[in-house]
Amino acid sequence: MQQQTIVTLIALSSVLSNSTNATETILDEQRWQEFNQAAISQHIIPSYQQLALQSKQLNTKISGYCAVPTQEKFAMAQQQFKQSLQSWQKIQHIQFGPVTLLMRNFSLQYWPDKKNLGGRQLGMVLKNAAQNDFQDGFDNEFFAKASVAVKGYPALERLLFDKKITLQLHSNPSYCQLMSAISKHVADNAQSISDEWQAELANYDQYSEDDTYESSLEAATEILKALVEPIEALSDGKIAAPLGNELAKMRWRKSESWRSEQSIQNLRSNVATLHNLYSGIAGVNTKQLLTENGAVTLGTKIEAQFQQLTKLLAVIKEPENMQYSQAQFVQLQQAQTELKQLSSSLLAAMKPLEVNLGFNRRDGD
Amino acid sequence: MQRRQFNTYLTSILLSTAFSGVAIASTELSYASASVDKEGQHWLVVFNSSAVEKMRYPLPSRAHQVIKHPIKPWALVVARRPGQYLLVVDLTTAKLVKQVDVAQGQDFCGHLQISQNGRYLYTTENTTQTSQGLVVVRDMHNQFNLVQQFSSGGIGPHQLKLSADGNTMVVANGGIHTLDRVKLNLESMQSNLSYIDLTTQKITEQVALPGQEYVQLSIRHIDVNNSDKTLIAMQYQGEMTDKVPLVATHQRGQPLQILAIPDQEFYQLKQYCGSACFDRSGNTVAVSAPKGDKILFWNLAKNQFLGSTKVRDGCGITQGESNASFVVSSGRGKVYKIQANTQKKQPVLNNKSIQWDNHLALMS
Repeated sequence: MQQQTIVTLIALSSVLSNSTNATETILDEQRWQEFNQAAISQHIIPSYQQLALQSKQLNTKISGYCAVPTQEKFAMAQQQFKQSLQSWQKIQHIQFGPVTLLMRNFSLQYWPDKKNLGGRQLGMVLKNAAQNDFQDGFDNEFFAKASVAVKGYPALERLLFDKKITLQLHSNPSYCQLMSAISKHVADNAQSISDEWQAELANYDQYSEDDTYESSLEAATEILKALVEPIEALSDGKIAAPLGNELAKMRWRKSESWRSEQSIQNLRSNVATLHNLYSGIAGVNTKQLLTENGAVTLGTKIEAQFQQLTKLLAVIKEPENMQYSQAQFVQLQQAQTELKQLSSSLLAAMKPLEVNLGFNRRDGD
Repeated sequence: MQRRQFNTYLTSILLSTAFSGVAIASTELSYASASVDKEGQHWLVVFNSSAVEKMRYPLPSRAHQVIKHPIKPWALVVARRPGQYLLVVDLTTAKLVKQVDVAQGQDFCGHLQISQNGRYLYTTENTTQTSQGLVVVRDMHNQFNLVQQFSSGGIGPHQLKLSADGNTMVVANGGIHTLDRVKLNLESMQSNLSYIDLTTQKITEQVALPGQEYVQLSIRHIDVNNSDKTLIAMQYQGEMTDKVPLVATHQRGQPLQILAIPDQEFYQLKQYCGSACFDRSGNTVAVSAPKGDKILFWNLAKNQFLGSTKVRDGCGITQGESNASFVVSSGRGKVYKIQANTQKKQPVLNNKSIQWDNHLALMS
């Protein structure tokens, strides 16, 4: 590319950009690289390690129950499910890198399941298994062909908590085998993602047009997308959709983990992990970069919004018998409002950081 | 328009006239696209393949397609849906030639065409309340007055394209009823590709994706080559995990031909394709997938997927200088030349102060 002509173009357009704050510091590539390394080593990799560990423990607990099926062991498996699910909720926002390969993000959690694919597919697998005295086991071939809706956490939640399905717990000889196989599949997937992040690190060593990222800023943009974009989705998908506009019309069955009564706990984990990504990473984090770039007020405001939201979610309870009171309904509406406000603030924070989250991909036609 | 926005707009007009002198005669190819700068001001920008900016004209809001008048030195730019303006700008003076308004209760849908003799302007429009699709014809020799309007053959029309002989209009009816860009009929939507005889205004052929499982596929962007083959880029409104065709071709009288996308590419695309474009030969095609940061290429003669090139937020595509070459623009301010056979990209320009909008047009 002829350098002179680029300079001409930039010079022309710069006339129109003069109104931007002349004192603002533009972050250099080195600072973005430090940001990436800190986020990966302190947030992404430890969260995947935790997911792998918790998923493995769930497989152990389920297999333990299947070997000696006592009520106590079933309760322990249920308890471990809740813990494992929360480890997924703490890394659910990362939608780049190894988790996106082979649709593992959808395999780990197929949700929202608007057409009840999970219920229908799981029912079919259990029915076939019962009728055919299924002895071959649920091997790799089974999972290669199976619907994403029976491969992950939502399927395990149904098998552990759904009262209609657990009726088959003792009557269907393949029930335990299936539950155990799914938990093993989840654990293997989580372990693979965690392991593959070691190889993924190479993408942050070298930047060019032909590499995964052409600059440390471009790599950082993916991390910032994972911070900013889920917030609105939490409000819309996890609260507004099941809650509706009025109490009489709430449909909590549309919430993420109502069977295990974890829908609100999921939100707490989501906000906590995004808060950690925002300001909890030592050395350099988004809040720190805002401060360095002259956006101290906005940086502090976002921190306060995260804290306020955390406080609010701490007092919101899972509904009783799938129904909220009017007062609780108002609290959840407040959570939606606060999430929207936080989302606006985070989007506004991209400007002083000179980060472009995407134009055509975010709002195309 | 808000008062503050209008002030920005006014200032921009004053600034833009200062640049009118940069329009220099050149034999190099030039390109145009709608864009937005860091202040949120939208612009029509024309530049050449040496990255020299030739013209910049302020727009009142976000635009969509730009097209060069086949005879006059004009660029025509239309607002994105639901659009309320269409501007004709003189490329040599950077002055407004004409602002075309849309009838009350109708919106522009972001795309336009001009008859080969340079007289008629065609736009896709819809009825605001129902999204019922229209093709609207205006006479540029007569003050851009309305000549006629007729059904586009469906709901939510988007891109339209003239056939090789200019007698048929091919229209992508996306099938989605929207009000203020909110989608209202995703469960019952029906998209189709309609061929309309411009003499009779009758639909002579209409094709849709077969089968209930494809009902949520929206045909949105098209291109037509010299042999009247239509290239179709689609967007799917159903589940992210569903495997559906996103790119197809159609030859009149025949069924749709799906262009296969390998699984490892497909699941990165997030069920969304942007622009569709034939190369100069009409045998090689490119489709952009901005949500997957990819441009995909096929050789139609060999019915072969050639591969993809990573372009972050890449969406606009137009023909390059030679066969199998394309020029691609991105929301990150970049423009590349890409050879479809090697999928190698070569930077044309990089201007971080600008985000290129959905479509890129070849101007000369």
